[in-house]
Amino acid sequence: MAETEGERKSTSDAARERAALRDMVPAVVLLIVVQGSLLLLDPDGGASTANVVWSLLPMVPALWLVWAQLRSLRRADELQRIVQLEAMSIGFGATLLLALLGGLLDAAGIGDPRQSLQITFIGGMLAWLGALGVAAARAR
Amino acid sequence: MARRARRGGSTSPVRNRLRELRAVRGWSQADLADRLDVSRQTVNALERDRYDPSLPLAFKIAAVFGERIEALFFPSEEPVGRS
Repeated sequence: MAETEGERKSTSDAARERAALRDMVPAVVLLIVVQGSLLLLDPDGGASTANVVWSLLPMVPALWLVWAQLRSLRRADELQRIVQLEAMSIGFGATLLLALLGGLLDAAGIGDPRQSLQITFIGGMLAWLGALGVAAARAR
Repeated sequence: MARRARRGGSTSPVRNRLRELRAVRGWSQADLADRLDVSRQTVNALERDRYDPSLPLAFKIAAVFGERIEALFFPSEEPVGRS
């Protein structure tokens, strides 16, 4: 069975990857620029409208990334879609558990809620990406 | 008909002749994936009986091979080489 188990991507897979990159790269670049600007220019920390807008600016590239992810999900073939949705459900479950953990610790007066929020976000993302990586490795 | 891919070997009650028919035509998994508009990994999962396709994909597979669906997919107790 010569070359039948080759590692070449299918044409549709390559097209899906190119489209995902086209959608996501500008959003990631914008996120880096906005986040970098926030760090460098350091908003004053007051409750002014300008400060609120300035502080929430990273939401623009974040929403762009969510939109890109949804488009990627719609482009995926049926097995890829199941794998991606399963990975997202694992990430969602991990996020809920970490949020509950942070809430319980906060109620007990332990730890910093800001840190708990960061851990919840990062932990949920890692669980999602980890589940995706395991599923992708298994499918090879 | 669609079923999630499972780890390990085949445990599906439904088997298929994709690998055999693909080999006869000398196609790679990627070649077949191109014809079906799916990823190579999906073809791999189908051939290993780790994933049962949706009905639309099953019809597409049947059309690509010029066979009827029941000639491609069958219960695992039936012999693999039938036509």
